Amino acid sequence: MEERETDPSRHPPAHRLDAIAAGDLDSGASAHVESCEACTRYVGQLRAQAARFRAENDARAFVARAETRRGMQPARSPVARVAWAVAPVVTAAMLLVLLVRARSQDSAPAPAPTTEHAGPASGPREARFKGGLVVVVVREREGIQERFSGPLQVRAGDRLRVEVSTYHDGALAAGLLTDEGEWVQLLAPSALEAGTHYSELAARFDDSPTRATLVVGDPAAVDRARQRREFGGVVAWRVTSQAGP
Amino acid sequence: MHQASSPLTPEEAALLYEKYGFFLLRRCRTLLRDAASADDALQQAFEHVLRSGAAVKQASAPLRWLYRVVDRCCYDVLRRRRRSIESPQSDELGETAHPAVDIEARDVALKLLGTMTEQEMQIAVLLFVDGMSQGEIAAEVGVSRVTVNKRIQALRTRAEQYSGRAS
Repeated sequence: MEERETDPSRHPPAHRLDAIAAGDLDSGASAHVESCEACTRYVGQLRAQAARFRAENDARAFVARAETRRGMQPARSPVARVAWAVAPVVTAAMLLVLLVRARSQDSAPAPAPTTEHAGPASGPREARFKGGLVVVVVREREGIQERFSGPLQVRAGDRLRVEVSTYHDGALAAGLLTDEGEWVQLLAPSALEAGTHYSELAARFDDSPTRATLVVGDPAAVDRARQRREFGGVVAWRVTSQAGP
Repeated sequence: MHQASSPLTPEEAALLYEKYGFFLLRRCRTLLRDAASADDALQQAFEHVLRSGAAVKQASAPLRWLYRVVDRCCYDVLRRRRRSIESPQSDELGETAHPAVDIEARDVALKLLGTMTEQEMQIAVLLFVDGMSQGEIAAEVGVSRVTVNKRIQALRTRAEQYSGRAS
């Protein structure tokens, strides 16, 4: 497949054309569509098919089925429910701590587009670890999501979530451990089936300096990391502050 | 830092489905080549979206965000399925392919999806379904263009071998 970057006549990728067919705005891709017979035909066909689909499918019924499925799934862990209740307290305390600290210094879409970054030379080039665990950190900044497979930097307003893919059933936990020992939970200790899981919780950063380590792994190993800062057996990536724009 | 998370309301999820459901289901069917599996994968994707999909509301390209969610659900199905090369006939909603996509090459690649690693699946989908360039794929997957080129060459070799056996 030939490269597209420097040729304005090349077709935009499918997700941009599909988005136009769905009714989203994309001036760059739209300009191409207007001048390209093949893309005009592609978008037109998808629009017509999508309209038929909408007429034949009940969105609320679909979502109701998805909700029912969620309700039928086994509870991740009773600990997870406790974590939801505990987290705001931990969060408020951390925020207070971070706000009084002196300032100092150091992707995507998925939607938007998403940019995926491998870690720097000191970090893993591929986020695949022993035991078939794949970890990706999704950083959302001003509506743009970037995916990271290694250490990353954040600034005020950023949000972080964790996506873990595992080939085996097993327990996992994830969170951010600050250098001061505070813990911000992203994924409560939970028994997870093989597959891809997104952290239900996200970390949002204010303008206080950040010096933390993202920790992902078996709950016992995560706990060891939290208590003794021993990072053997867990994914441990540095998360630090980035200078503003 | 502090935690921030909000699930989507059912109403918000329904709006997403109404606008993008066709495209998402079409993508699932393209990748999984099986209507029942595709329906299931899309349901699973929306479970994720209901649970922790509030970020899509702020995304500047929500369909792309959703495509990544369904892709992962489909990869999970393919990993569990470990389907042999002989897979069901394409069950895509309509036969509208991206103008830059070679349909024949795409179909062979899709038949081989279940035998690939996740990275190979990602690259194959971005190349043969999304019609992305190698540079765009490298940025999306987070590897170098050299790596993408190597993976693509290896995939093409496997596809040619498969086509040779199948013919």
